[in-house]
Amino acid sequence: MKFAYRSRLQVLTFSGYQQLPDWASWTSGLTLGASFGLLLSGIIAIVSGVAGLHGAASQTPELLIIGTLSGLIGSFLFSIVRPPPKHRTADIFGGFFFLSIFSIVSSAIVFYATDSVEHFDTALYEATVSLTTTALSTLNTSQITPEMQFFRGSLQWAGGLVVLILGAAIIPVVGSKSEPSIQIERNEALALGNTRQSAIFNILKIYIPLSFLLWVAFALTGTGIFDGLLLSISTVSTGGFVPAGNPFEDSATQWIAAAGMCLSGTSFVVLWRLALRKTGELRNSAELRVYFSVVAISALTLFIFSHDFTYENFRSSFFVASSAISTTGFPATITGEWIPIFTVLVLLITAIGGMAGSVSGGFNIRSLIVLIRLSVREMVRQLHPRSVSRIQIDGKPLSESTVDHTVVLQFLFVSVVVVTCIGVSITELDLFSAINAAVHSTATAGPLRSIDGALTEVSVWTRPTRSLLMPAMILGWLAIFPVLIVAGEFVSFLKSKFRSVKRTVIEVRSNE
Amino acid sequence: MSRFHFKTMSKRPHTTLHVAGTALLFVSLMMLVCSFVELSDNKSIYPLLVASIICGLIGGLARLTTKPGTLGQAEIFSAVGGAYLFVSLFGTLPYLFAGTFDYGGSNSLIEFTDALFESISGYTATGSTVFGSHNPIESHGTGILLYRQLTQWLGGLGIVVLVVTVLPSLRASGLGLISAEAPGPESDRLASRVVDTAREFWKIYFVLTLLIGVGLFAAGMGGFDALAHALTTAATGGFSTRSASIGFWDNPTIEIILIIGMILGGSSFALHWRATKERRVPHFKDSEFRAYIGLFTLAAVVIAWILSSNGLGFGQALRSATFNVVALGTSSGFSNATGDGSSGDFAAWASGPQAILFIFLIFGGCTGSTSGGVKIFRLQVGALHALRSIRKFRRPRGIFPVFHGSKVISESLVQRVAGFIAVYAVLVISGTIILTILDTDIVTAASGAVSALGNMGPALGEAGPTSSFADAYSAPSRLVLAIFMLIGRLEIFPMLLMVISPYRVTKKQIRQIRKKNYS
Repeated sequence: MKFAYRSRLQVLTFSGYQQLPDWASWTSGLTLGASFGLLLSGIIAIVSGVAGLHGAASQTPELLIIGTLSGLIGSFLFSIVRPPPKHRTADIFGGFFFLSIFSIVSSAIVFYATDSVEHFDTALYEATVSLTTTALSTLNTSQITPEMQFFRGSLQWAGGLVVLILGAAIIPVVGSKSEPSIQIERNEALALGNTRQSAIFNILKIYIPLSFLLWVAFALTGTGIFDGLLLSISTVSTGGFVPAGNPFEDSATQWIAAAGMCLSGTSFVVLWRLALRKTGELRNSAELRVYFSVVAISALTLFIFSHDFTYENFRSSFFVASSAISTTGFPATITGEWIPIFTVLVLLITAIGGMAGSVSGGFNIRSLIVLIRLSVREMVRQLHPRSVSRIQIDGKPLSESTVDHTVVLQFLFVSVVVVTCIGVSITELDLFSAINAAVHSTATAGPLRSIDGALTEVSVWTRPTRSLLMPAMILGWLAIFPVLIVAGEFVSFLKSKFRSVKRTVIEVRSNE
Repeated sequence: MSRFHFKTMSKRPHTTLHVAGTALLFVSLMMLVCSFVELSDNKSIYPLLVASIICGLIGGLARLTTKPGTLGQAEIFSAVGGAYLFVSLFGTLPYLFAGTFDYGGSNSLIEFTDALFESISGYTATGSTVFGSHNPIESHGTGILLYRQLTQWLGGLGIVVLVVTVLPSLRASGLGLISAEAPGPESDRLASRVVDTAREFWKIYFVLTLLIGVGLFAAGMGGFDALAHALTTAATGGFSTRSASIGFWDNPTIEIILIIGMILGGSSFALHWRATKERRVPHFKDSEFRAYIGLFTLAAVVIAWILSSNGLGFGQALRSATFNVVALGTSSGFSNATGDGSSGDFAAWASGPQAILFIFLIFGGCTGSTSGGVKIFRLQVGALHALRSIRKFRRPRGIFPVFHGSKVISESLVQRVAGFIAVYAVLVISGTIILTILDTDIVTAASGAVSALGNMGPALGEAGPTSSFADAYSAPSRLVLAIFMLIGRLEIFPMLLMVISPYRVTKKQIRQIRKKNYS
């Protein structure tokens, strides 16, 4: 009976075990995650290499070779896995973590092999900022080849898709039985599809056409086919990489980008309902109202208090607000005067992020609503300690475990920010920059602004500082829990190994 | 229905006034004692004496004309919040009468703001001060200085706890009052009678103050300074009689005694009480205390290592790091900086140690102590709760109770802690935004809001240990900080609910009247 749960890796590692059926959920989940990660970066590298054939194609051979190798290893891993009938929640999360790690390492090899960066740790950093849609890049767009621009842009696009699948399709469904979702209630997940597969399929049905629409829109404004493609994949994934030059000087491009960012920060459940013309429930959606209110209030605050009542400033204010709340972080600023409160505002809305079930990072609007209602409930409970009240959103009561998860997520989010902040402040950054960098990394948002609103140059930071930001980016990108679950499993594994070694030692000694 | 309505209407102001009046009588007594101390400097005793008479008259009147009843939650919050508001407002009188903040360039409005800030900082045991190079502390009389120190001593353990000791008529409601004032999610009951519990707390507090005072005197501090610093060390307040705070003495022995004093002040008084009763040290069996000491040790070593790697000798680095970590971690806020940019001036340290200290501004000490902040216990519960959530993901059908030490934490307490942290976060963010709007830079604003809400004392940025809050913040910002200190002293809810509950009661009454008219 014990044999049935042994994985094939154990068969390979330990002699004595011969034929075994399905892999254990844990091993299968992780191996599948790793294979998907390798396949993902491999396919992107091959497509980028092929895309580069139209131009100078200086880095096409490296992209094709590494892409093929990565794809082959990924395919091999995929072929040897014999998944069990059902994966555990923790193992699915573990799979996502392994996907990110393998994809990052494989992409870093691409960055390093194509001489886009000097050191491998910088290559890892670049791969991380690309996949996690953070865009705190050290690379100057004008200095890298078009195929590499396409490669990192596509990584962002894929990273956005992974977040969507994890946030809008995996977490609500796998958590529905005894554990409610972290971000979205079960009934909302069902709006995207009754099963996990149908939810993922429906996400693709929105994500791909949206990217295409934005591409066409950007191309029509005169941005160019290639630059338009880069901008569209960056906008829809809330990535933040921009092509060379400043495409946002054009009014139409800036408006389209701002609208695209607003849409990307919106829950895909909302977009799906809009696509199906089921707008009835959307009218009563508190989250949607709060999201657009925050965008509007932030944009108006930037516009009014910058004392420049021009159309350009209004446009750029809306753009900066959308960019911050969707955690895209396109490098553009307002045309009026930048005052310190704007930095706080941008930092705050970046930390909050967009709606739950969207591509954007951050803490998300839904969690904010839950927290505010929890605060109010706690105050009422002080007056009426025995009162029983449920937190409601859109008239539906939330289960206590969902509220719990929201609070835990907040606690973990703040903890990640705090630890990262301490780390980077010890290495080099001043306190404000450290807080700013930690929040932006955890929220997977783009370039940082100094107190005076100027964009911070990340390339001047030391390598240890950048390395310290990478875990925060991965944690923020995967909504923290998957990484911690893997860490928990790893600790349990180490503990059990240690115990078995200890037992063996005791047995050996007693035999002696 | 109408009779019930009359009862609820009449009970609230009576209880609040009765508790506040009794608190004012204690304040009056304290001012009276200080006015006689002022004689030793050959300074005028009238400011303190007149303030004492006013407080005595108003306090006496409030006490005599009212009587407390059995209190509901709303009345408890109203009474505790009201007592602090009254005491803080009337506590400005000695400063105003003595012209303490009447220096060149100040107008009467700023003078009142400064007096109110200093008074609230005193009674909430915060330790932020508007004294500075423009208005040195040393230039004022001994009586005023002693009064300033005593405000922290009184506020440290809690003025309402003191009131409960002389109000046996409150009976069980007294425990509610103590709970509303005591730091931490739950208050300890040391004796079967509430009055005895309050007295036990004061006894421990008094003995602790005495021990610290004797220690400081033996270490070389003058008698008055030793007494003054003992009062604010036990209270984890941080007011000093010198502009340079503890840096004035530059004496390692004094600093060691203060470190021990601050640690004891910042740890649970219930543990001290058990130590005296059981004649053994139960502290290290307490999970919260272990975490509290562990965090201090870790932070002090890390900061010392960073400071020494920046060129400071390791011994000096460890001394500065330990003192400042303990001073901020226990919410005392003393400084051992001998001047701007000296080794003890943490505002001049590298950003890494400052970031660690910023975290300690949030942490605070143990529950049931005189310290402020979120409290180690709440952070432990938060961390354990997070850990449980992760374990539940791994084993969805498992039952994982949250353990604190050997005790299982109830789900309701976990929810209360979660609620508290949520409200705390909302307040810190709001405070930072308000202070930034009032022209404060973001680091000074954020650390100021955290420091005021946690009753810590100094902040970071412009409001470092050698700076005056009068220089770092504008007058409106200081008022905002003062309000935050009051909210933080009573652990957020009482002060907020004191404002909200009358609104709720009025709303309820209007609804009842409307219903009656309609019927």
